[in-house]
Amino acid sequence: MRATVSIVTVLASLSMSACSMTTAILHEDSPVQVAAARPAGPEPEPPSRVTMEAERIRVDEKIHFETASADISSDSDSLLREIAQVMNDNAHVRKVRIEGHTDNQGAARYNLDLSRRRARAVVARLVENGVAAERLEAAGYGLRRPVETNDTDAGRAANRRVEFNITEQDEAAADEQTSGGAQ
Amino acid sequence: MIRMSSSAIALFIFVGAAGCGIGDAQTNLRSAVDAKRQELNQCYAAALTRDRDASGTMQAYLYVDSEEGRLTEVEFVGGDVSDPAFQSCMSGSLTQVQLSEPPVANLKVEYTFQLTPEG
Repeated sequence: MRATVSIVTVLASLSMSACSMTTAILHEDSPVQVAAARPAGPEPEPPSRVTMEAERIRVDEKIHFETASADISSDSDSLLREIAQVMNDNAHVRKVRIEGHTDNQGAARYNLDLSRRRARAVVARLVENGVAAERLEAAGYGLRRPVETNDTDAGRAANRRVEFNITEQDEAAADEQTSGGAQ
Repeated sequence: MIRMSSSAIALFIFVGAAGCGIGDAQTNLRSAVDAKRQELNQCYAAALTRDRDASGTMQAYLYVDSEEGRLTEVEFVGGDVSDPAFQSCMSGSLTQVQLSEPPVANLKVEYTFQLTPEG
């Protein structure tokens, strides 16, 4: 009985002391919810438009020129930088022939000259973009090498083109690059 | 002999504390912290720009002064995000908290912040 009274007295004083304690240490059970929108991630890399193949550089977008001119349109600037980058990433390719082609609209002589000037303009731009001039040569074939019919708009558009054909390369390095999946 | 477990003693202290207004102070503090949610969300949005994977929980002690009823200090003690700028932003927002009534004693309250990215 005496022990019980003592314990109750102690507990009562403990309870009372809670009011006069210097610092009450407590715990908040329910977490504070903090939320915010995750920022958008970086823009995904655009798919490559330029691929190094065994015998050519495949370019999946046309190089645009001003009409009846060898002036390269500004919308092709980034494409030409990409082509230059791929060439510089593939040092085993020692020489590439830049070939200009036209459709059959207009005089053959005019087209031949235009295709040559356009090929030279592409070479000049690649050199500006850091490709060694000795790795490049320009050739124009005019309307002589169509890849599609010239009887349709789509066919003529396909025939107006610039090709990048590899004429010299380190074959052993090329095999290694191909098996390694290089661009 | 009568045995008394430590949890029972703590219960008595808690009941005593509740009886003298500590429980009210804790409720007031929670309301004041909840009122800062928008600012805390903005701190978190900024943290996500630095690390878009920042998420999880953060534990902190919030200290409330009994004289002014003001939250005076935030002490981060653990959790999944250790971004100093985020902690500084959270502290800056929370230390503006003023309770409607000062508590009868200084408070040290353990809080958990649940950080959830959306989208």
